[in-house]
Amino acid sequence: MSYLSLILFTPLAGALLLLFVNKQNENAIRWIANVVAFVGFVISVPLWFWVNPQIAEYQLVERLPWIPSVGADYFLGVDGFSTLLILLTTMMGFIAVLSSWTAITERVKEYYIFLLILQTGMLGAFMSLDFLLFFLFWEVMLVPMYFLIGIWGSSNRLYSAIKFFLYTLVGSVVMLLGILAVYFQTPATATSPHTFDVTVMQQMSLPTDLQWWVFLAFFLGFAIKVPMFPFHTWLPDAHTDAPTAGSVILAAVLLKMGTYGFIRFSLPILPEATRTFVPFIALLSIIGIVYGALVALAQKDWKRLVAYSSVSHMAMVMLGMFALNPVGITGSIVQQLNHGISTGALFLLVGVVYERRHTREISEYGGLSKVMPVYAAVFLVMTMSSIGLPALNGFIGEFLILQGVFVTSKLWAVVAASGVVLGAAYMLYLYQRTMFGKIENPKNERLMDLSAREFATFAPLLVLAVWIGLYPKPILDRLNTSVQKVVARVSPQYGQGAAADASAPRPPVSAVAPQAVEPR
Amino acid sequence: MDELYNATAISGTMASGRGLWTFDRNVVDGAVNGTSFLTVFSAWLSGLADRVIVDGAVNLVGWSAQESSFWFRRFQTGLVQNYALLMLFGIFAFVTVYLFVR
Repeated sequence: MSYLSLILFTPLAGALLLLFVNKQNENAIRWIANVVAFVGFVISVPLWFWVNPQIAEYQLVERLPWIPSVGADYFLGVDGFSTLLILLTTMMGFIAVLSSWTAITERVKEYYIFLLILQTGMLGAFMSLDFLLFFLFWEVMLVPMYFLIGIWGSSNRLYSAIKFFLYTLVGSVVMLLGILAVYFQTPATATSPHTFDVTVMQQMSLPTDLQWWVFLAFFLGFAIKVPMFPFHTWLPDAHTDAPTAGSVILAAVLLKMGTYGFIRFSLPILPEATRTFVPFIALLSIIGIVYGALVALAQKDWKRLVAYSSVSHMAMVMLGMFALNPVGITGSIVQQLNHGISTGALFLLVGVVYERRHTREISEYGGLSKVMPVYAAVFLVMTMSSIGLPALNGFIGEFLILQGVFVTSKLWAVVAASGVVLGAAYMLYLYQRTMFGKIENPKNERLMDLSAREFATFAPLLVLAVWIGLYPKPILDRLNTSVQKVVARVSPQYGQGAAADASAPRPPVSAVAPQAVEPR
Repeated sequence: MDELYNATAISGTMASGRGLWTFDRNVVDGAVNGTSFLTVFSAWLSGLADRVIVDGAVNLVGWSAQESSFWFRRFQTGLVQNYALLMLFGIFAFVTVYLFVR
């Protein structure tokens, strides 16, 4: 069996295995799920080493005929960009499974089965190079998430679950129309008049007016997922009412599906339409940055605050992407990974206190750093990562994005930078209200600090936050060819040289800045 | 100086935060919930159409069958003489039609 399929189906195999375990045997279920998730992560680690950053084509390709009469194949392949997202998925998947050990006490078997099926869905979406296969995995992700929110979520879970499901489904169905529109333009294969092969579609020149409509169709599907303003309102409800692991997976991975869709499909397949829509998307992104940050500032619910911060951060990611230059797109991808790490950690942090106090009201907390010092330290590091403090990962992403955006439009960069300030505002305000000050609430006086297992869920995230912040070169190198490929399609004026400079090993401040300002 | 900052920038930012939060809940989410309301309403309309119009047509067929049967039931007298007479009329009618058509 080939490597990518092995990574893809390990979680599913684990889910099938769990089906045969007696549901009373909760300990066995937890152990099996955790082992499967851990193994799933470990077997994906070689991807980091085996995917050659120098090669532009998709690697580790597997291709088997699936539905020959319509030209759909079981076609998997990775490049630098999807490799990083796959690694993020397997890592966050394991962390999510590990974090649920004590949090989930009812219907434990179904819970872990759904988590593992969700994991397969996400991995499949990142690996697929066949549009029908991609769409299949895209839809597969929705059902387990719906159940995770609807069954194990908190007070408003039914409304949030249905809202999440139907909202994203509407986007997906419109996206399917777009897929079909492009499909009918593809050339014939040996077995069928058209093909769903994405690599073929990425090389095609489609008529501009068709591109316009297909871009809008794809836009709806991906923009709802990102989520972009004004399609974002499913996110605060879904994130707030989901169980901790559900929120972590939603924030860390599922949101990246939208941005992955833009970079993998919208930009290369529809380059003229992409250029046409830049002002539109930039406007929505800028609104999203500021709007998300301001609404986050007004929140009294801890989880909802982090959810709105996600809206703001992902809008920044979109702005960097639609600057359509190598620096911006690189920054966008790096920030996607960073957001997965920092916001995943923030939701885990909320989950820790929620398990202890069963409340998300910020006013219920205060002075926690006295009773939970380790927790406070982890929270501080992740707060700073989210804000974009230099030496942590957030800075690298934000800086590259702002640099890329500045080249395209100084005004946008100014507004986006104000979003960074607001980000610091709501995060520090949150930290102050929950961690500092006196312990007003007697219920907080005896809270236990992080257990070894809980700390283990944070450890990889802390390491990554610092590592990417201080030494992002390995990540940037792996993105180089992916970004180059996309830029060659949307912004051909940037030659081979500029993309390579975006990942220059020296401190990004001096080396990259002069190169990026002279587009050629 | 602090009071100036507090009165202008800080209050302004916090107030706009709260204002946008209200906007998000009522207007943006209002649109989302509004589409859900429209969907549920059109589902109710479809249900109404189904019960009144479609089922109405089906029930109409059954009702007319029942009503018309009243008249045709009167032919069942049970008397063989009536049946023999009817058969005679029938033969007479057939022969007449046959002769005319020829």
